[in-house]
Amino acid sequence: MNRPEFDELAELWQDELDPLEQARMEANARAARRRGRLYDYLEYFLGIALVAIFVAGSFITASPLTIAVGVPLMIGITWLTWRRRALRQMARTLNTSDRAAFIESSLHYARANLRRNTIGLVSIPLLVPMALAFKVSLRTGGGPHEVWQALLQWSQTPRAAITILLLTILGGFTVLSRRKIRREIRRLEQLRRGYELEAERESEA
Amino acid sequence: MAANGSKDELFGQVISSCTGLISRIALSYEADPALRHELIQDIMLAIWLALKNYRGEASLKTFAASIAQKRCISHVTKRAREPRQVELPVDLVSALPPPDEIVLRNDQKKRLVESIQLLPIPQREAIVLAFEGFSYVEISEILGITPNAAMLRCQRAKTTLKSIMEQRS
Repeated sequence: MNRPEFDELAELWQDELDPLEQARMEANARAARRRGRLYDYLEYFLGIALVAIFVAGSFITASPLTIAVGVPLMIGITWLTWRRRALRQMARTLNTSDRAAFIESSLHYARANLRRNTIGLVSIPLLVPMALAFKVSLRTGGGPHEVWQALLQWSQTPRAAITILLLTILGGFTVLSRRKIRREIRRLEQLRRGYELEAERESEA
Repeated sequence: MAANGSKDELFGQVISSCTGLISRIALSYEADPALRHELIQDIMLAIWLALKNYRGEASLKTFAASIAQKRCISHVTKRAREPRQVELPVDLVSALPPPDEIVLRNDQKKRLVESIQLLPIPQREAIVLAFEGFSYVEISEILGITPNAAMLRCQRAKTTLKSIMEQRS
């Protein structure tokens, strides 16, 4: 491609946006700024609200069993919230120095996402019975025998069937998300190979 | 924070001077208009989030282009399925009723955009930056390679683009 051909294509490429598209772009930009500000506050607010609910619950019926279930639950939620925030931060601070570093940090992020997904798959079956026990202990006053009986009764109700169905659907979504992340990792690895090939050609030349 | 002003002021400058650039970079990666709209929103959000790290070492245009390219690469690797070939609108250049010359120009632009979308990503980002008027030094800063490597990559991208366009004509 000679210089005049290139200039002609560059001029064609750089054709002005029409005013409607320009206005839409500016609206997009303003919406992005609002979203950016909102994200900064929302995550902390959610974490604090969840912990406040469980702290309040623990003090209303402060039996040993309630506290024994409530405290690990609080720790679990705090840890999960913190972890999610750290992962999102990682996405924001993707290495900007060069493409190899960018692809590496994207891969790192995708793999961290896959780990988060695994944590989700493992923690749902553990956290849900704990949350149920916590709720029942609040209602019954906290004895292990009463809680166990109440859980047995609950398991025979339509509500239990609905909960299990919802958990199964949630598990299904998690598995689908897992496939998507694996696909992303595969594409990133292919892209890394593409950049390596370009670099090899450049060093040969 | 950059020496040139607050985050809000800098973002205002991005809106006023880089929207065309961002829109065209997104176009080189996403043919589907609805998905492209989402991609542009993501790019804008990423620029907003990244502005706190902008120190003014490079121009704001270079900074915005660099983030836009990276967001586009993430978009391509994250999408649910391989893209189908979406027919680009015939009025890609202008919304006005097209006389013959505009029809021809629109057709040429459509062919150019479709050919760029078929380039391998490393070459695609180099040629798009060259079309946007960035020098080899600026391209090398954005891509994190040497100016010489940027020049070689642009040359290879031009050759590949020309052959794709010839095949499609």
